[in-house]
Amino acid sequence: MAETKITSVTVEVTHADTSACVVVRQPGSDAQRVYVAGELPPEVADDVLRALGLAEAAAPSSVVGAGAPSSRRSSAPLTFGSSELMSAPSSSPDALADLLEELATAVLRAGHRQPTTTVDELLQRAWRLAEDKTPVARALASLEEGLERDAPAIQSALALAALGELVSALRGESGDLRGELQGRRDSIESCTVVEVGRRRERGALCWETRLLLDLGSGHLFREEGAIGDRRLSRGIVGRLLSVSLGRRRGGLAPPRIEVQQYEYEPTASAAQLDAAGALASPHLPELSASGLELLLVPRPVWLTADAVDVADGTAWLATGATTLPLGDGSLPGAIATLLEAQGGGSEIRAVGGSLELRPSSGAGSGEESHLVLVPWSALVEEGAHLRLLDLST
Amino acid sequence: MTLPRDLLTALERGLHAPGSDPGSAGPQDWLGRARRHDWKGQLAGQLALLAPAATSAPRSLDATLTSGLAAARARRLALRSSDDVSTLHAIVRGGTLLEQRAALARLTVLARSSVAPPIDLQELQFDPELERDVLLWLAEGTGAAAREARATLAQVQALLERVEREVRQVVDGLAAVDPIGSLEPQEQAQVLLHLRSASSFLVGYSIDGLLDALERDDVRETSRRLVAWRAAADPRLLPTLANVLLDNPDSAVRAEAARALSRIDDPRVAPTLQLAYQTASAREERIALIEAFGLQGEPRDSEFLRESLEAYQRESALRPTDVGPPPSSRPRDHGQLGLVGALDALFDVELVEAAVRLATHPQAEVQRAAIRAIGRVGEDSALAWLDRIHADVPAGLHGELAAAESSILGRAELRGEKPEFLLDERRRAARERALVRKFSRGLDVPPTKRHRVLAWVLMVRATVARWLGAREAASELCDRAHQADPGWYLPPWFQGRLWWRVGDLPRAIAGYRRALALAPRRLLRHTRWITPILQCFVLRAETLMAQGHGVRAQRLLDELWPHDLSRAASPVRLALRRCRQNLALPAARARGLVAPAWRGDPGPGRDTLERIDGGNENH
Repeated sequence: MAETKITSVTVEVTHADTSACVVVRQPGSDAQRVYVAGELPPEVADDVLRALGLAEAAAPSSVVGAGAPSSRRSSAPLTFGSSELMSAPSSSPDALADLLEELATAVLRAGHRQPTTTVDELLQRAWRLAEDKTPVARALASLEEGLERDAPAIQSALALAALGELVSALRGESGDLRGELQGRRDSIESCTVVEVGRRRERGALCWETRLLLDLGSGHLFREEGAIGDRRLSRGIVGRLLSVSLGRRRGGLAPPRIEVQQYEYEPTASAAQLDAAGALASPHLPELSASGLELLLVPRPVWLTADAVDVADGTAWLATGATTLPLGDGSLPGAIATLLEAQGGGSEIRAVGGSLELRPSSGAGSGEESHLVLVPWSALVEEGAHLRLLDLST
Repeated sequence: MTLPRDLLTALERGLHAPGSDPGSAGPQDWLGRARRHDWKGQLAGQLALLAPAATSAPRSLDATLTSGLAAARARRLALRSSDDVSTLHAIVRGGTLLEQRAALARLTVLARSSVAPPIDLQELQFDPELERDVLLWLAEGTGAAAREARATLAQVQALLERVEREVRQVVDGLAAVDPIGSLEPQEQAQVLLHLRSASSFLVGYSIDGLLDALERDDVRETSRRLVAWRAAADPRLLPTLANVLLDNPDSAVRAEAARALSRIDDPRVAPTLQLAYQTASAREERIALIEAFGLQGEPRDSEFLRESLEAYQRESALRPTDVGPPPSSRPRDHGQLGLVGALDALFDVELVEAAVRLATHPQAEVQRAAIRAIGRVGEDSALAWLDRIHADVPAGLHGELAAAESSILGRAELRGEKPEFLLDERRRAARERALVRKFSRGLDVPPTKRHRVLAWVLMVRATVARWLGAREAASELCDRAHQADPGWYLPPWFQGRLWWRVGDLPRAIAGYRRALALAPRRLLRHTRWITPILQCFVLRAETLMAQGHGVRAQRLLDELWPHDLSRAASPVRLALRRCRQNLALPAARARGLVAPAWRGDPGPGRDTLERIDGGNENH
């Protein structure tokens, strides 16, 4: 199978043994932003900070104890440091943006393999301010993961780049990512939807995202909430929901909805599943120029599927004119289940999942990060029967 | 050996490559000649290539567990496409639950095409959970059994359709009573057993019932529903079960979810269990996960289970037996049943000691599980264990004994051994048991009367039996002496020495372990006593390492940590140190701490140890 490069994502990752930089190119112009993580000499770090426009936030007086090694997992709150660090958190967007910027600066100054008390403290404050802003929580979780001792530098570099996107969104006037963080609520009319997939994220962020397909209009919706949140609608993947009252929240596509009054059947009928399969899109959705939003909010999609194959140690999904690498990530065994279903004589008609950005794991330099589809579910045709295969665990 | 590329390709596609003959990659081609430990590592390495380039799998996963589970699943996939009827029959007799299910599914396909010859059903004892698989298999045959099976399946299908109609009425608001809950217990069991044949609608309704119980935080009802789902083994239940296992705050509920999940043969089960295993802390949940891994084909943590069983037996011995209701009417001890369930799922010779003691437990279900555990060990010596408990087992469980024997012989066939040889051995052991009865006539030891003199007399007779070459008899006399005086270290030490000298390391370690627990200072004081004990542990650890069970070897050696081994012969201590280094090396290599090419000086290994042991009768 010929490898298809996804050209719409223009995040490039360059990494050496101990440091990495992320280059985000703006299409159609020479403008670019560079994020660096790793063990840098102090003077280089200062240059990078100035280049990033973070010099003001990175005034030395505001970064207490930068460079002092410590355990990042201290169980007791610190009793020293500036009063600013110990102050109660503020939830205004500007305060959060300032804090994220300060965090990025502290990580850059310290180097990603030398966590300090400052980084630890700033992370804790950022977690408190994140509240229900899942993009912020995902970025912080990714950064924490990148700061682990054996994590590659590109992981924290990408997380820093994502923090930059967040800061821009929080300080901007409008934009979809800002909408995702703030979120207006509009009421929606009644609709009939089928849940075509869901995913549970377990770790620093315990979050469940469901993908709902409106059988009338063909629109996709997200239903999100913390795992076990009783405000989420009840039932399993493949059920039919007749929504009579709900609210829609602004943000990135597909829009989030809150289902408030509904009736449901345990499973959709074969005709309804057939209709859901017909509504699957053969094309990838438009992605933002940088692609960094995929780090913050993985993009749920419902795509037609021609075949799943394994080539060069990677599983690929052929959909329309494109082939996409598959990643299972937090859904272990999902790809093997898809391959078994296909090998057992079933035909995969559609796949629900999320588009995510993953750092390249190769050893060379100048590699592009790549886009993967994490499959959540598949619409499978077994003989004359259609069934929705839930791949979530 | 290397795995053929076509096998890997087949593995990637579930051994059902489009356009290929499904029977062409049967286990007879490669499974029989592949030593498990030899290709497990390679398989894991090659399967890892199938993973996408960037995954975010947890870092602390045990590689041996992952590869072991992958290998077990590969065996089951191979069974599903095998044409080797004799292997399939042997698996049906002596395999794990999932292997039996895979073999029965394949036999059903073969019977449909009239390839498989009929077999004698009289000697087969099936787990109740396999009833649906057996019915489907029988229905493809001919004769009265096939007609009966077809009639039963038709009845079940009609029942499922009726229940589905009633469920639709409930969903449409025309009825209010739960149709499944209002069924007779027998019908309810049939619906759940045949859930795999039911529509997605009925399965969805069943899941909805569980979600309802979860929403109400009704632990009792949730657990009851999860227990009922065990027999279903329906992959459609998997996402819900996985969510309960990974996210529910109640450890009892998580334990039941693990048990239900482990009965499903699906590629998502093993990684989900591994995720749960990384964070499991409650004892009950850990035991359930041990059972789950055993069912999935990779026994794990048998040391923890053995210790738990021994602790339970000690507690049971302290309880008064002559008060309270009769055993059959006592409330069920769920912790104990969890232990027994896990014991039932394991294939570990080191647990036989505990199982044999549980075979005389007052509760029939405990006895049943213990007998099945002995049968599932599958080693030759298990036949002798079965014969030993034969007299103590009530007549109602003799069918279980026969099934256990059939299982042992089935596993012997799988290993390529001849059952006739085992039966000869068994006759010899029977003669020895007769000898024991002669030696110990009038010396039966009631558990309430401990007597040192009696133990001493039994030990004298054990020594005589040992001189006469009747090792089984001598071992049994040692057991009786240990029963007579549980605080005397000599009987278990003698027993350990007896089996060490003939090279039966698991039984030798069982004896030595008991002796060390009773009188560590006395045994550690003399070189001539501690040296063979240490040799025995090191050789067993090396054997386990060679079989790819590095974790078990590590745990075995860890048992020696609390003891002062300075009196042991220095070459043996050196061998122990070398063994520990070898155990540490793979982990260090995985972390990149040691160059892969480094092999090190092998030091005194098995050859050296066996030279030191001049009295070993095998050499």
